[in-house]
Amino acid sequence: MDDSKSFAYRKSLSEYRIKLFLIGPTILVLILMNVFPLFWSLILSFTNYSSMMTKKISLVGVANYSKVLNNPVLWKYFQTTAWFVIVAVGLEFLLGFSFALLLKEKFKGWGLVTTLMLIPMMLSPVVVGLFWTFIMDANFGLLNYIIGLFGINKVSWLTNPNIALFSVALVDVWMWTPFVMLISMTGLLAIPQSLYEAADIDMASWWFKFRKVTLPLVSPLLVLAVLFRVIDAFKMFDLIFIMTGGGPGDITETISMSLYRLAFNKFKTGESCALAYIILIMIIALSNLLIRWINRAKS
Amino acid sequence: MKKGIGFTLILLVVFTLSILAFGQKTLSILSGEYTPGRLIFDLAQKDFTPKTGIEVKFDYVAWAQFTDKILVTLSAHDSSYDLILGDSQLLGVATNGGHYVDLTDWLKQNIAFDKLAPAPQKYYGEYPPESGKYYGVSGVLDVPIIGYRRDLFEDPAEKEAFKAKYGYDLAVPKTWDELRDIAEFFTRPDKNFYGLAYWPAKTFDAVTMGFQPVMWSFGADYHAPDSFEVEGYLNSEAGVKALEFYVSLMKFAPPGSENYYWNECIQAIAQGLVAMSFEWGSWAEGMVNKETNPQYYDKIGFFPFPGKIGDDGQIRQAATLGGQGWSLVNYSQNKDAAYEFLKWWCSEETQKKYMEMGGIPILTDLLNSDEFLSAKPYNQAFADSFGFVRDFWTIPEYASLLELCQNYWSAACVGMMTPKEAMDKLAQESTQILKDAGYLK
Repeated sequence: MDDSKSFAYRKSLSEYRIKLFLIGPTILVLILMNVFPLFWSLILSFTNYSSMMTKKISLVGVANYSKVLNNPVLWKYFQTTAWFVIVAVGLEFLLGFSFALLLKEKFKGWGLVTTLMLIPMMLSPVVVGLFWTFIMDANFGLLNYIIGLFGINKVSWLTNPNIALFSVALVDVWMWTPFVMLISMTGLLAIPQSLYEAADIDMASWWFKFRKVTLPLVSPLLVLAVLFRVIDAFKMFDLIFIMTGGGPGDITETISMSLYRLAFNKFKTGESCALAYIILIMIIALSNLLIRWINRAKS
Repeated sequence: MKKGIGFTLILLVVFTLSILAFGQKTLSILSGEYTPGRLIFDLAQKDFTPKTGIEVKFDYVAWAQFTDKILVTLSAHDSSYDLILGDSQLLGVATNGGHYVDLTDWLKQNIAFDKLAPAPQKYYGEYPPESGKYYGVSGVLDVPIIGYRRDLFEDPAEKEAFKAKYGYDLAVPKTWDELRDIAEFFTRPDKNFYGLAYWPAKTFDAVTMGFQPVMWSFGADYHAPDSFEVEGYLNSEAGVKALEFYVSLMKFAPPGSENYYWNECIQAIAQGLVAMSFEWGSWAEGMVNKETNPQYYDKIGFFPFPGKIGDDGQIRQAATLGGQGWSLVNYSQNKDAAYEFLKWWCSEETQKKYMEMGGIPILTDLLNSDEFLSAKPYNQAFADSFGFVRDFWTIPEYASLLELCQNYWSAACVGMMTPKEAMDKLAQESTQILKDAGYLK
């Protein structure tokens, strides 16, 4: 090997080592914190392990999965979760996109209005849950006071079985509509003005421009916002934990609440790992559907 | 110059090592976030640390996360905490998992065991029940009591109107039927005033803690006296009647109070919304403190949970055990200091000081002393309640059983199902849990 080749080899080796040195710790942390727990919990899902008890761990095959899938109560909680996702994300999408359309045109104080509207999504869900519990209190709450001014009777927002889930969904809508609005606005502001000018020259109506220009160009980002919100709403835990505790009865019990109780109240670790994997598979399936939709919208 | 820096560095290292080697021991305690926990910390700082040289550190956890924090800590075999001021419900799961130290022999050799108030010590420490084995020592004693508006109960016009309507004097109720009458009497929706704020909520363990004394006093129980047989005991005629009664009280509670627990009940009485209100004894101070109840703080009286007249004509009362006991964590690296603390805590001298600070003493003599009974307006009701206190399940499956009680009883309170349906379903599903766990065949 001549000197120049040897130098190049040493140089590339040292660059490779530097890269390894820089990326290595991150990879190691990822393996330790993400990959290992993922595989470890997969193994646990096939055992009778309980992290509280000292009994011998034994393999139970797919018994945990079978138990979870054959439990009608858990399917009821899946349904509750689905209702929550449909109502909350549906309203967030409609309101968020509508606000984005309104705020597309700049006006005096646009910056202030936009910033104020983004505040709810910056708050901690626990804080939001706590103050909305007070706002929705049937006796001392601000909401009942306001509707009382219009002669409407007191509403038991969080304790009436017919509306408790929708009340929590309402709070989720209040908190996360700004997120959908923000993403939609990003999409709307990125549409070239020339397209609208061309449509104006052709005397296109507002509805035509919306249908043929705005919607096709903004839809990939809209679907992305919906994707994020569906994943997040599917995992809904904090607001329900704080506001209703899953009650009254189990009317607002979501699947994440149930998973939490199984894992950290009952300490059925193996069974809870199985349920977590079932939820994971469902979320991945849902996400894939939405990602396909995004790709179709792009093409 | 270099020599100077080197010398300084050596001094620093020696200083740090000496602190590590000869520094004070620190006892780490996990407690819920409440006044008694703060009182014990203050007392330990003033009294325990100067006497023993052992520092005490309290980690206060919000109640919503309290049980989870203990269970997660124990399941991780974490040695961060030496002592846990935990619920009696955790005894089963913690002892079966080998997480708590058996204190039976130590207690009998090192403290005046016979001086401890027997009922609390039994429930906070003994596992399995009636086994004589102790994994805990009485810590913060607690039972629910009922606060009432003394000014209304003593108002001549109200007294007269009550007697005219019900035929007997308006006074502190001794039976649930009397409580119902009083609640009905004071329910005046047109004035936005109601008879009773109580605990029908799904959150935490609210509805279970509120309903079980009613159930016991009506003659029902979670299971047979000598076995874990649930069917026919929990959903007995008495059990169903008890739940029907508990649900019927909703008519006299403020609208929308189906999510009330201790905090909301204090608010209800402080806002002048109700005449009577359930409250944990350890939180009752909120009703008589000028800062938290500026309008009615000096108009509140207290009485124990009423009872039900049995077939023998005697009133049968029951109270839910609240509060927490001390348990020593098996993974503690500081067991000697923990034993020292428990010895200090159980001494009469410490308990007297704790009582003077406003705490509830764990010793029988002090609990029944005039000094204690007259110290706070709620102390008499508190001490009386310990005469008939009882506890929820303490077996490792308690969380599953509690979840069922919470679901079905809160559903009955909001009218999602009838009391009979709720009790039958609860008995059926509780039986299944006990069968799966091997308690029943």
